[in-house]
Amino acid sequence: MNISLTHYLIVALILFSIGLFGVIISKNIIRILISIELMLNAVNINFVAFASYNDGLLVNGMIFALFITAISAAQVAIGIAILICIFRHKHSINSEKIGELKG
Amino acid sequence: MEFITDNILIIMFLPIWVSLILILNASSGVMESKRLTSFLTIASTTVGLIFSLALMWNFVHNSTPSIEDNFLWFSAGDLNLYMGVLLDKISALFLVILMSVSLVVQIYSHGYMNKDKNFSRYYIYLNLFNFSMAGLILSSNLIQTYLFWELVGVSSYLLIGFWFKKYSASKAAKKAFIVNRIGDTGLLLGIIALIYLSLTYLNTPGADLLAYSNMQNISEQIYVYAANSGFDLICIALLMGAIAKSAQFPLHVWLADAMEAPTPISALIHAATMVAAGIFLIVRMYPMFIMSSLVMNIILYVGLFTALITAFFALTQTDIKRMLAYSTSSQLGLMFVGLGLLAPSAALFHLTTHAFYKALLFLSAGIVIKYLNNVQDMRKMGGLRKKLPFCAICYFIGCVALAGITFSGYYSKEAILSAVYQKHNVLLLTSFLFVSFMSAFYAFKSYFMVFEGTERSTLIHSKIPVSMNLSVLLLAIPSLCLGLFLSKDFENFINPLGLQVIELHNLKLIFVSLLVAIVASLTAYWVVKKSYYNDFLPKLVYKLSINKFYIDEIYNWLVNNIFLNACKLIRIFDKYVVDGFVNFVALFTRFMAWVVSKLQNGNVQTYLSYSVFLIGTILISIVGFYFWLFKG
Repeated sequence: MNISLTHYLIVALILFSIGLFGVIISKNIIRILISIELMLNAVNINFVAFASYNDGLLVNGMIFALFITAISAAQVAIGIAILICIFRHKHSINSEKIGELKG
Repeated sequence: MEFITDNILIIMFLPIWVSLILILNASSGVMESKRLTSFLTIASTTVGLIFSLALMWNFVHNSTPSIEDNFLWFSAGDLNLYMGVLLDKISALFLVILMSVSLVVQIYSHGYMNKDKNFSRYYIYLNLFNFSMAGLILSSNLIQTYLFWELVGVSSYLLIGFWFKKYSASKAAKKAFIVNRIGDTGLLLGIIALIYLSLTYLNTPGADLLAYSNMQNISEQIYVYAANSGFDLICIALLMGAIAKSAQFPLHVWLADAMEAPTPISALIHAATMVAAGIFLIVRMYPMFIMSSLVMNIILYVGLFTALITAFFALTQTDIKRMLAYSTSSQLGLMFVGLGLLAPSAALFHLTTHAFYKALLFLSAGIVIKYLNNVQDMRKMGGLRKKLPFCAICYFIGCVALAGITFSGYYSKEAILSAVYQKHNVLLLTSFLFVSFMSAFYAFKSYFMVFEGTERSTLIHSKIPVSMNLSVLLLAIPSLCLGLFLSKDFENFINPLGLQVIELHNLKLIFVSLLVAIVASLTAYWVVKKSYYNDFLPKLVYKLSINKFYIDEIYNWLVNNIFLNACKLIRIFDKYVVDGFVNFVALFTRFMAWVVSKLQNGNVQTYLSYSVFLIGTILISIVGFYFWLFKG
């Protein structure tokens, strides 16, 4: 079976949807962060797939994927820092209990 | 003379300047001085009197019919409203009456109100009244008259309620104001209807539709179009204002209560000048009223009926001021009779003489009241001729004039009597003679009760200042000789519309009217001598008279049971239909806001799912649309 671009895209779509679904429904903030990582990785797969199937000489897509990996690491670091602050403050990491800014 | 006519507005503006100065003076509180207050007021009125006499002189000696000066106040569409002055013989006459009685009353008040704490407030109100009355007299069109008409009403309200700490005074002030409002509403409706009809039927852009000088022309044209549709109604609406102001039958109830005002005010406003404003309005609107025989009949019979009933009420009044108030209403009724019988000059003649002798009567009564320290009940007076001889003579002169036996009252009453006689209506004539019988009776009854006989009470007497006696003397002179002085030429001199002057020198008629008056005064003497104060009438008639036909009670009942209930109905409509609609809109908005606000639960994930749903929907529809457009 010949694996084409479409297959990669479908895998990325499934991965993205799972991530989105996880962001929306999970109550645990750590799971939300993990789901965001999933979505970012789905985007990474897209970038890499497009890059290798369109023109092997151009490495723009690959470099983007590397950038995203670095940024997502930074984002997780900040996210977990915020999470620790919240946990110290509220003794809970349940996202439904964080509603102080509700109008 | 040019100077006088060019600067005639000084008559109007001097009092208001003076009253502004007095307000500043009183509110600063530093240099409030009774002498300054009365000096400024009297000086301004003297200037006004000089100007109005000069104006009168001008009209007597030059044959100019009228001087008019207008400017555009504002215009809206085709409607132009003007402001200005109209000087003619009528306004000159009213100005002379206003200024002379005002002057006398202001001199008198200096003595009468001297002990009052609110001396300067009193003079401020007096000046305000002078301003508004002069403005009313000078005004050249209906709308301007209406403005000053209301101002006159306000100053009357303020002065009736001058002693507002007295409950009866504040109540009387309210009553006078509200009853006058009924008439004013009619007047305003009439003005609006007149404007509407003139704008609809007359094609005269830019013309002054309400000007008195143009009234004949306009009303003739309107009559052509609207003779069947409401011309009479407009006239009646306009007449309502006059009826309320001049205290005529359905709306006469305020005048007697207005006697809560200080006595000089009763003399000035509620006897001589303000109540004459109704007559003034009718004379100004005469060109219009005369076209409708219905309105002329209404004027005639309203006047006659008022003259009869109020004279009847005056018979049993024991309060000297209330008696004089009913007498005023009755005499004004006789003026209405004159107007209704196409004898406006006779009515104006009677108005002139009546202003002086009624003010004289009031001011003399004021001396008695002051002398007895605010006792107004005639049953407690008596034998005052020896204590107050000068006042007694003046009051007697007033009574003789009021009875129409001789002096100025005789001439003017005879002028109206001639008009009545010429109508050849037996009912009219007998009612007129009956009114004059009753007037003579109550006038002399009050004189004998107050000044003759023995003293009935041991009340403390206070001193009468010179200024009061002086001003009574100043009024006694015109009451004595004004009628004789004017009787020859007055009716030819002031003759609106140039109607034919009715002159009947019927000796029999004069004899009968004199006989009636003399018999009435002798009866009064007999009644007082035998102390039949209230027993001279059969019991039932007496009760009717003392309760004023129960008119006040009927009005109270009507207001409480019908008017207020109608108001409640309208209130229900207002609350549940008008307000209900508005409240429904507000509630619906609140409900929708509640629904939408439920969507915002403060959870970021929910918002995210909304946006995912929305963006997903948009993307899918775009893609679907794209396929439908190109592939389908």
